[in-house]
Amino acid sequence: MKLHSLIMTTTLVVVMSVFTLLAAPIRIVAALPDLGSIASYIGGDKVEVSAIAKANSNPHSIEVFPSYMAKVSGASVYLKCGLGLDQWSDAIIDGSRNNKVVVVDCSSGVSVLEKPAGKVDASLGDVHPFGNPHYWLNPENGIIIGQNITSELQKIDPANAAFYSVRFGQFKQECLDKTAAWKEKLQSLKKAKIITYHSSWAYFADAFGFLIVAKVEPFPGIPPTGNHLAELVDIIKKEKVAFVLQEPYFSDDAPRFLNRQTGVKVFKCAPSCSDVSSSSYFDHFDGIINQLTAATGGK
Amino acid sequence: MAKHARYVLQFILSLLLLHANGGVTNPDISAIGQIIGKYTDDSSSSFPKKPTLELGEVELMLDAALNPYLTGAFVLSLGTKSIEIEEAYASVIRGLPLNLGLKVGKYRLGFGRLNPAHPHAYPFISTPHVMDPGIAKLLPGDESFNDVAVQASTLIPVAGSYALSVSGDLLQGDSFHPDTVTANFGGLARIVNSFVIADAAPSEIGLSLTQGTNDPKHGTKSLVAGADVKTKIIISPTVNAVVQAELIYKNADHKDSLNITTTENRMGFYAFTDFRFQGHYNAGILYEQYQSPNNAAQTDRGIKPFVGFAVLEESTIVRLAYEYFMPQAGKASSTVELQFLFSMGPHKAHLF
Repeated sequence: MKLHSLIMTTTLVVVMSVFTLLAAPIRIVAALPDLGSIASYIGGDKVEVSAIAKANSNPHSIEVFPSYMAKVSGASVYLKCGLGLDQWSDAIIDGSRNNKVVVVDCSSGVSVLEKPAGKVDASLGDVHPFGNPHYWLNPENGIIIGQNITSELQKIDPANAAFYSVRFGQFKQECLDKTAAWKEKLQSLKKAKIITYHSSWAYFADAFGFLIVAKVEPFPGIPPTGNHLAELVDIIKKEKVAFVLQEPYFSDDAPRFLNRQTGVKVFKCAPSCSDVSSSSYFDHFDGIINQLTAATGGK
Repeated sequence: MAKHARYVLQFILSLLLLHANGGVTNPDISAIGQIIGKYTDDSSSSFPKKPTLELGEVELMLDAALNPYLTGAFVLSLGTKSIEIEEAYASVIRGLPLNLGLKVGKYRLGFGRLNPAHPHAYPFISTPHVMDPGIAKLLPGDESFNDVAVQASTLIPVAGSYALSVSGDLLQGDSFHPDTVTANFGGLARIVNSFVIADAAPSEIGLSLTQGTNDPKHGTKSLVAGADVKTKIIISPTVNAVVQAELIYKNADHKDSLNITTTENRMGFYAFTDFRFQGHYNAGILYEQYQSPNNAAQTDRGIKPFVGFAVLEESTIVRLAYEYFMPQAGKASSTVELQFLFSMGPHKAHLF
């Protein structure tokens, strides 16, 4: 009887373990929370998503911690931003020694803005040689990101291919609906002239009709000089710049100076969403657009 | 050395010409140069109470993927009269079981935190005395603990943000007796626990242990143990503070010409904090002390505040450091160093 119980218990444990393994969610690690949020939306309960960079982190210079490599060592999929933004992703992936992780370059298929022409070297500053990599800030590119993620999930989990297809369809529709609503909300700010601290907002401006007339950085990665700030003051007055968009990981000094000299409004907005929850990607746009419309009153 | 320099340069040129062959890509090539202005009243220095301007160590680095499974790297240290191969190694990054990594070649050994890093990356310009094998004589080696070795390593995810890195090196062992070249293998083991405190302070605690033959003729050995800690406190998106410390303990037997064995037991440590703000500026202070290599009953101390400005990461950095060094036997000295460092080459990921 005791042996019979032992066999039954062991069999039950083995069967439950097999089912648990079969039902285990696909582990995805994303370079940026925006990519992770889209993956969460499409994958639903079939994926477990985490991100390396945080909303307030400067994605150009993420330090590589062993804990990141350990995170990727157990992952099935790594969502890379690409276009040269996250070179640290390669160090994390190599350090993870995960032979089986599938790396998805989420920039594949994106229409890239600001591709430098001619020779690219450090005289241009910390320029991105493959073009502007902050593409997720155009929600229409979110659809392309979603398509890339869906294709990969369908390859590695064909049993749930139809599920991912339906979820992508829902994501795409929600993206299109919300983009239309955001454009409507920002209608009064269309063609508004703006200044950005860094070149993070090119796709956002392109999506919603803003005109970026200058940047606080004279060159990417170079802090503004006194002369450059004086030029910006002139530009703000002459062009009637509506507002300045600043990333949270840059110094407040120059934007505050511009505000004192010209009264221009300064909005501090993180280029990335706060977490990898399925609504975070859309909530992020809601937050930025609500902030802009509330403060500018549709000026 | 001039003969070797010619061969090294020929090798580099041949690497650059490889791109002419179909299917072969150039390695990433980086170069770092530095000019150091110095003033010291230390009477033991070459030019006491006279300002000097020197071309510091120039480094040329080449690294590339060799194939989907291995990467390779060369670091050449160029002085005004010599070229040294500081590092030349290949690493297996995937394909091995049990999450293993393998590194083979000549490299700065992974003892503690400062030794594996190159001095141009230090925010305080020059290597602290306690970590300089030529000064405190706690660490093996000449200018650094550097040897021909084979390393196996693995990364063990624990839970949440915790991870354990474990590595073991088999060394040729010449770093324990830099004046001679023999075949007395040494060993190095290191374990590091990485974690994040309250989602705002990535941290690491490490332990290192190395042993080798310090005198091939008599077979006497040195054992060096170290403990280190590093944490980066993220105060705001534009301000963070790095706190780092290492403790070193050395136990070594020495035999004299009369075959009398003496045992050396000495300790030393350093600690520094470095505030970094707005992505371009940093300011910090370092303290060190160690038992003197000439007399373990005496303790030498040093304190060094430093500041720096980086135009665009490592492309151009200006650093200023003031050191007040207090040997227990001897006169205290002051040294001011001003470093202008410039580098060219592709961006690399920043390791913690």
